[in-house]
Amino acid sequence: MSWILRWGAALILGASLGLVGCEGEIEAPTVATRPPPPFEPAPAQLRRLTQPQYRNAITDLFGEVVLPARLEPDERVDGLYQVGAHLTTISARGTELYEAAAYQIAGQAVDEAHRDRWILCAPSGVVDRACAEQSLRVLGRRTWRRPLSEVELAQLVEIGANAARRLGDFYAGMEFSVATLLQSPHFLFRREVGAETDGPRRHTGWEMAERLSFFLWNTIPDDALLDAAARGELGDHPRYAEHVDRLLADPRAKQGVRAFFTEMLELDELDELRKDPTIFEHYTPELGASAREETLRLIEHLVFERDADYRELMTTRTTFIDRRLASLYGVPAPAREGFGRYDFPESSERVGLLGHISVLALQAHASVSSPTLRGIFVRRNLLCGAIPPPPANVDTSIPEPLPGSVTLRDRVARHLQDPSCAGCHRLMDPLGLGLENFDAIGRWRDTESGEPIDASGDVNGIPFSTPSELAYTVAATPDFTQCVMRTAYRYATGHKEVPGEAATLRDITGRFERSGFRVLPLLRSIALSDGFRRVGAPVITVDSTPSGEVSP
Amino acid sequence: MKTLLQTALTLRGLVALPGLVVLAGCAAETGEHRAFVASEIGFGSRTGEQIDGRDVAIGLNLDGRDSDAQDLQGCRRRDFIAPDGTRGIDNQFTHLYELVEDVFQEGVVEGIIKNSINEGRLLLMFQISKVTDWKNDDDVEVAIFLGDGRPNINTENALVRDQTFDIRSDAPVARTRGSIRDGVLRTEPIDVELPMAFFNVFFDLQLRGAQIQAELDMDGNLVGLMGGGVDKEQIFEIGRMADAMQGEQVSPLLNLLIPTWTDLYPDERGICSHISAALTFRSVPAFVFDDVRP
Repeated sequence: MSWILRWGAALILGASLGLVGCEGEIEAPTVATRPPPPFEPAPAQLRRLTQPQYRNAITDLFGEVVLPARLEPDERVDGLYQVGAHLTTISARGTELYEAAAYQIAGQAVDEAHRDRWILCAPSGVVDRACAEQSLRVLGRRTWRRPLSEVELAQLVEIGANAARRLGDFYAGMEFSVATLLQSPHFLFRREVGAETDGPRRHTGWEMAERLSFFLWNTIPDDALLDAAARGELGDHPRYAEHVDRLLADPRAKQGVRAFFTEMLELDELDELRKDPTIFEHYTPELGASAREETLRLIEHLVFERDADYRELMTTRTTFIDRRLASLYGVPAPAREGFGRYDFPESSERVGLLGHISVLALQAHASVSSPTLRGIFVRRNLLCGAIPPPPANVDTSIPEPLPGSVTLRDRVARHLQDPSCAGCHRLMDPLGLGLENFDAIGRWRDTESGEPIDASGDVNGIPFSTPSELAYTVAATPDFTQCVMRTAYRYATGHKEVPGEAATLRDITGRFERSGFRVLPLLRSIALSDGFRRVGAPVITVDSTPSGEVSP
Repeated sequence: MKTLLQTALTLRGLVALPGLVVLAGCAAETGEHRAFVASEIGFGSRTGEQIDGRDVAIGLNLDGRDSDAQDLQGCRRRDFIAPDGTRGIDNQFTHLYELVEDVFQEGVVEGIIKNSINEGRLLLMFQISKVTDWKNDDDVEVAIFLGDGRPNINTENALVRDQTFDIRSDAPVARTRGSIRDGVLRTEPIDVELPMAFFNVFFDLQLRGAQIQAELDMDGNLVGLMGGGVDKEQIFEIGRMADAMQGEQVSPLLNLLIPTWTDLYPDERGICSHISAALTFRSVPAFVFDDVRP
């Protein structure tokens, strides 16, 4: 019985709402340095909720429920899932996963522990359309981030009533209504197409509500923000900045900042961190999660507690570690349970983010360190430098040792001597070699194969000789602050910047610099920027399939 | 045979059970300090070799004598000789240990000790402090105590290095002084008391005049020996408790054998009260929480 209802619900909503495809590639533009062209926003787009956003939304809607383990995978584009989110759609397998997830969640949403959170009335019988409508109207607005039309609401109520009648239970019927809401593209996709106004095309208030909340909280808007959207206070309204400030002051902003840096620093990859335990006794399957938490706690500390200069992320000697990480770092644990603050002494070469396991262990192989991976991370993720992918026919394994070569520096030296490799490896190996004092899991070492480690290198021609000097040199590079600004902008808008946004980026850069490179003012500047509030017309592409279906 | 088994299990408790209390000492917080936790503990025993007609055994010269069958001060027990040729090695406990090894499969004793360590019930810790030179320093302070906490174990079934532990609150810290010469640490004798439990039998085992001789290896581990005297009355008492608890007859065998092995602390009649013993250990660097420094 229930499978019939499931498919019925899916078909009704699928047909009535229409799952819309996503837009394709944006040319990789170069932002002009002078003078910027007139502002021209990027094309409109749809963004699929990322897995963390989906899970955060469900928790906000229904409280603590068992969340689905698997959803459609996210795709990282230009370093960010938020950019990939507008280039991905939902596969057939993904549709099945979202359907299963919807029913898994809906079943819990109507149980006694959770239903009082959103069912706003006591049903008068197995079928109580008024009660269902009252509850679904409110739940639907939060789930779809806009008010439901009367037609949509009536469909949802009817789905629930039909199911309740057959199953003999009001709540069992509501389960199908909820599952329908959660399978809808209006829940799974963020509509960011804007609307024509007197002037340039702008995001609607409802779009701005979800744009803001996903940017700053990484979850759906709360009722206050939706109310503000309903009052027309988002976007160009004078009170818009007040709403931005409220979101930044809310505890959920920590969740948002964590989400941003998790994407930027690829911290989600730590779930898959694997090291050879016969070589690295400190490795456990839980190490990756601890390492991620260390980095995120430091970021929280710098951004929210200290409102510090972003460059301190590279130069601070403060960190937050648990017993496992303390053991790996070879320092006393600052807390018996959980994480505690630890300050490395001035004599320590372990400084800032580049001393974290989250970078050192992730950007390395299972058994040996990798100056190349670490160099790519610094160049690409921290400095936003471009590194071309290796040619298809190139062997990317670590070069075999030459006679007399002992250290990894000796081995990768071949990269820099071979003309076919040197062009790219010059961009990364000299950076990564500066971290060779840290082995593949991130533990300090003075020697490799009995030879003292040479950690010298250069950042864009500026020499360094130790890991801490590398950290300070990177922090002092203008590219470092420019990169976090650029990455945050891409994260917020969901696209790689286009030439028409150069003036906006220049303005944000100036504000970021004048703020002392503080992250919260940066996020505020982005939220208030034209690039965040305005949008270009959708690019219409014609599918080459015989059906000739047109999608925005 | 079962009596022997009971005896062996009882004696195994000497190292396999928690609680370490010692007496005396004072500390000065100058110079460097390092802490270690024993990842491996075993019994020093005979190697099966002989040098100059003496059996070679692992142990320490606890009484400063090289005793033979004529030495009344050594209760006429022949001391052993160390693998490096050091004479006067006191480790009569090896006879009892070898008896136990004969009865049990080889490695069973070590396995039980290992489990006790890995489960956090026997975290024997040392802290060496007031050190100005780790190669040569005439006056250092050594604290011996039991750590508390659930340790992490590596794939070789050993404690992971650099873990942080609490100090067991029911086991006061023992402090003594020592010196480091050519990288070898030697401590002054100190009485160590080991509160133990075994098969629901609780007792305190005293290791009298315990000394440590150890050195730092290339990996920064502290590797060495801890020797001391075990009171024969304590062993008898353990036997009696085991008899009562298990309904066996351990005591007659112990009463017969132990007096033939006692070699320390002779009385005016030349009867020794203690049996010398040596524990081997390999300890890895560790930390204790700041607020419970030993």
